[in-house]
Amino acid sequence: MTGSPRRRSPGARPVNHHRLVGALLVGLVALVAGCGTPPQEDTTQRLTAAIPGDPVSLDWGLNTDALTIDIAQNIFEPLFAADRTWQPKPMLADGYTLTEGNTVYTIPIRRDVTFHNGQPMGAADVVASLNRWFTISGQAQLIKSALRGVQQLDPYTVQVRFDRPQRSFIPDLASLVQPCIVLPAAIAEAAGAKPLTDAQIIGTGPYQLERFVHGQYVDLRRFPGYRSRTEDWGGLNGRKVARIPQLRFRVVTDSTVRLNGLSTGQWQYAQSLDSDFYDLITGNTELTGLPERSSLIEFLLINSGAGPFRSLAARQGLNQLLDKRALAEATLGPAKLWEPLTGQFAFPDDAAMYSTAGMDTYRAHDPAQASQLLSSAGVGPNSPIRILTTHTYQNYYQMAVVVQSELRSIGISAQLQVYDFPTMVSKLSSDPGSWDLSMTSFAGEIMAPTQVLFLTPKWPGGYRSAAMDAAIAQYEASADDAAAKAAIDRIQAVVWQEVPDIGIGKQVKLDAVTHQVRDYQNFVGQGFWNAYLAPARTAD
Amino acid sequence: MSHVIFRRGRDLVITLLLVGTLMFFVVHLLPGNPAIAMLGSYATEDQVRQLTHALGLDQPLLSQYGLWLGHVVKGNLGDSIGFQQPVTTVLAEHLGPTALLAVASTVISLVVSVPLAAYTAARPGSWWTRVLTPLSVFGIAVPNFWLALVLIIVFGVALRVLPIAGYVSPLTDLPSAVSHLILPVVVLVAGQAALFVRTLRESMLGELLALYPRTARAKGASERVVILGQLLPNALIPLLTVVGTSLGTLLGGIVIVENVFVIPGFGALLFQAINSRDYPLVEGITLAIALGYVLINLVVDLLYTAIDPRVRIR
Amino acid sequence: MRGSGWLQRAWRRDPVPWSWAGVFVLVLLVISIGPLFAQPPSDIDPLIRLRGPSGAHWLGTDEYGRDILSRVLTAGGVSLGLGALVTAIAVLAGTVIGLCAGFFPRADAIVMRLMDALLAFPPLVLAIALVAFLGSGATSEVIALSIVYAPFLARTMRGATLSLSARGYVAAARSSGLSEPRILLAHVLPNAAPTLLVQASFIYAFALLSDAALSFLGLGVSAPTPTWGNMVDEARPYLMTEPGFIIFPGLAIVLVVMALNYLGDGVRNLLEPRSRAMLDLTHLRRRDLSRGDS
Repeated sequence: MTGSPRRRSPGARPVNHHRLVGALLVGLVALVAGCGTPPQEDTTQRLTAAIPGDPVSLDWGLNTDALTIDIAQNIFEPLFAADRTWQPKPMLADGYTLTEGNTVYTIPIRRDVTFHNGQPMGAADVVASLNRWFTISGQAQLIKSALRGVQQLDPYTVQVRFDRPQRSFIPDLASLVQPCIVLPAAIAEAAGAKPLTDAQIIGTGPYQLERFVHGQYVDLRRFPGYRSRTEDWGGLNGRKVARIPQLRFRVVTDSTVRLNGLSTGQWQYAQSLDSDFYDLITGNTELTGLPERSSLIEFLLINSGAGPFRSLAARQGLNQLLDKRALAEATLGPAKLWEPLTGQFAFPDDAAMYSTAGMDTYRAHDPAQASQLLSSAGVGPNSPIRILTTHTYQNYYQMAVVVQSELRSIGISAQLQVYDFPTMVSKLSSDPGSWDLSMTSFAGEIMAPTQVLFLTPKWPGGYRSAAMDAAIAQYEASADDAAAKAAIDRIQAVVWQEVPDIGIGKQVKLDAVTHQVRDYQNFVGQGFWNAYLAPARTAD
Repeated sequence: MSHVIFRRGRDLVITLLLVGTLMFFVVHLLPGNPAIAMLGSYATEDQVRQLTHALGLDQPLLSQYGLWLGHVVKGNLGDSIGFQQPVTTVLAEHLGPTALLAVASTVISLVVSVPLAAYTAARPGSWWTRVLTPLSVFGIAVPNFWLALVLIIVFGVALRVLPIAGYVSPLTDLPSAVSHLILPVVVLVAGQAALFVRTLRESMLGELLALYPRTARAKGASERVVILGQLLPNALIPLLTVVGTSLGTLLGGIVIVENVFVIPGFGALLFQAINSRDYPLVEGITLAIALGYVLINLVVDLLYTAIDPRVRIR
Repeated sequence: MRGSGWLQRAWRRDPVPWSWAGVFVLVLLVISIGPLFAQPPSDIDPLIRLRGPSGAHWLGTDEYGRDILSRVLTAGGVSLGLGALVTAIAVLAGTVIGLCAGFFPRADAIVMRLMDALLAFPPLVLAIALVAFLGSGATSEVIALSIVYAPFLARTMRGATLSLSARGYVAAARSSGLSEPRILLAHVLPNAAPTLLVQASFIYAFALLSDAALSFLGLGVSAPTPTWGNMVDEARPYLMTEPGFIIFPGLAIVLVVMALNYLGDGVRNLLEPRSRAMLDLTHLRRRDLSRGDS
């Protein structure tokens, strides 16, 4: 170091700068230290949940995406809804009677219900909502041909008439996907087959829509005029009390950020975490992991309406090619979550809907035969397969990479097209000529085979089959449980014969919460009624 | 000076026109119909046709262009399809975070880089200088998205002292806003300050080259101080230019940082707009960015002439 | 300056850039030869996913059971190759444009306005917009980045051409009866070559960073082909469980870009007298100051 003292001469700026920089650094450190504490607002007033993508629309009656269902179940209520055992029970209805050989449904409706805009609910609203449901619901398309009419009998009773028995009618109304939500008649008629605009999101549920900033967040607020049922049915039904005044669903696309925000107090609920986080979450004492009780089945979606997989041989070849266990290992997380491996369209504990028909086809894995079948169908090195996928759900992306690799191993090239989830879903329907394979997941707990969505006419992939139509008609006509079960077996058998889509395995949707969240039911999606927020712990 | 402003103003208009036209044609040739994206997968053909007509998308491309041009000149950038609001409103709402990041990063980079560069020029032999010089190359070489992830791992995941995503407006909650900005700004500063240090150092060495023979006789501490006193003001001028031209890289860095740290600014908006084929919004954002970039460079050039009358701009 | 011993003199003057040149060559070697011995980078084996380093997999396996080391090496080939291609195209296009603009005043006005319009864009934003238009993938990335970087070189070449004409160089050549193309090729180009070379190495560095950023954003080369950028992107969901995943691709980028920066500096000090003088000045002052301070 120099011995001479530092002399200040005019214009010698370095000395000032050192001090300035030093002061700034000290200030920064102080701020950081001060910022370690959580924000000042009262944390029991609003629950913030981090979700992986923008729901785009809250129209539960039309939009089939999980993101819509998860949020909209707080806003809307269907005429009938599932209880905690997945049995359909009256929600806005007050029961029903079935007469004239099981073809006429007489449905009284509740008299104490008000919409979010203050209007009381009456039969006219239910009729308009039912009409809309018959137009837009995928499951309704399967039973619509037998519909004779929907009419109002008196201000609080509605009647639906069919030509022949439709066993799945009530379960279909209560379906998790595209249920018959009840809207004010004016809105139901104005919207028709179009998606509800944000201004038309008027339901009867415990929460109402306050603000929807697309791409960023959805704000819900407690509806003071809510009238609850009194029964303790659980599920999407029964007694509901909005104990948390405000809800915010925030779009956070990165799963690491979603998980991490729980620890830093930015939100109290993180949805759709990668199943690879399972051990990390269970090891963290500050969080509670919530494997969703009602899980999904991961499927490979096949375009049977256009492209190389129009041919049955091609689809069968694809099924033989895929090593389902390897796919499960790569995409579904720790084996304990998905064993025993099954690709049937319902879970084993859903006794009425579960069938083992065709299991051997599911388990088949023979790349040599697969190669033969595929080339006999004209699928070879010169026809690249287009796989539509997304990063929003990491398991879909991983599935795409593995399928691509398995195709390459027998010499067939495949390209991945990656979009964000809403865009991917939109492309599946709007541009059927642009994709050959994609990914999706369906609820493993269903109430009727019509709720196996890829069997409905408008589902992407364009699968249509006389054999399947006959099997479903057999189900609708069945008069008792035994006949119904036989029909289910037949439907599942046809699924593995015709391979419209390939089930991979059980996908456990993994969420996590902080200790502030209490009494949360964790049924399906994020129904936050009856849950409450305890104050944040001051000592960590 | 006024003729400089006029000439640069004219250049600005021409540039913007070219930029806008380029973007218009690029965007309109993007595959995908925004009417479908808006209506969703359940739209009937009738609805799609109706909306396409209402948005004017079924007209010949050139007349759409003419229409657009006419509107833009009046300051009307159309309505964003996804937000269902005027583009100008959407831009205004998202400007804050991006502007904040840009300003904070530039100011901190300047504050950090000027003394560092001065030090390395004054003391070329010290071990600090020997460390700082490669460090500035490192700062330029390190990919900002990688640095962002590394910082997230260290401060967000391992140490858990800072939030790793999100944006809070300083007007709502200043301490929280600052804590959310620390990591993104550090990432931006790393690249910017490194660039500034290198540029400043080079220009100072350049000045030194001119002055050295004269001052070589003065040895010891006074040489340092005197040289820097004369040196620094002149050497700062190229730094001013670099602030303007580095804005491009800064904006690129901001796009990445907004993506990784989930900050709702222009970069995030651009992505969203491209993904949802929101034509008017994409055009609006690119015009706004080009406008900002050109304006700031104009201001820099004007400051340049004001500070140093020797410099003449063509 | 040329002639035997110039490398030794350059080395003695400042060994740093040349050590980095050695690093770069080493990286190139490893990347070219490595994949011959390693496993195929796209071999998926989910049963051995997320394993740490072992004898069979020196850097462990990723979430699909692929060998990380071979992916890093293959990605190097892809990224460096893409970067080189972009640089070559940008240099070619930029040189042609710049030469014409500097030489023919009528072309100058139109062409440089276009270049200015392109330069009015932040490079990454322009690249993103172009790739969105062209669709993601290697070809679009190369086209987009070449369009982004050519204007820089065009500007440099134009500047060099103009300054050479201003110095009467061109007038002299013209008056001795040489045709225009010949003047361009035989006189202007060789004089501008040093600046071009220096800029080219910096452009290569920026092209690498841009390629990494584009792949990171999911807009560049797509699966299963690895690039250093998309390897970091694929590591994002595993930040908490496997933080090591991002280290090697990131360090690889840093290493190569630093090497290119130093190389650019080194070449500049070699070829441009002013830079060389500044370097010498630094050495002189270090010597003087250390003597004065003792």
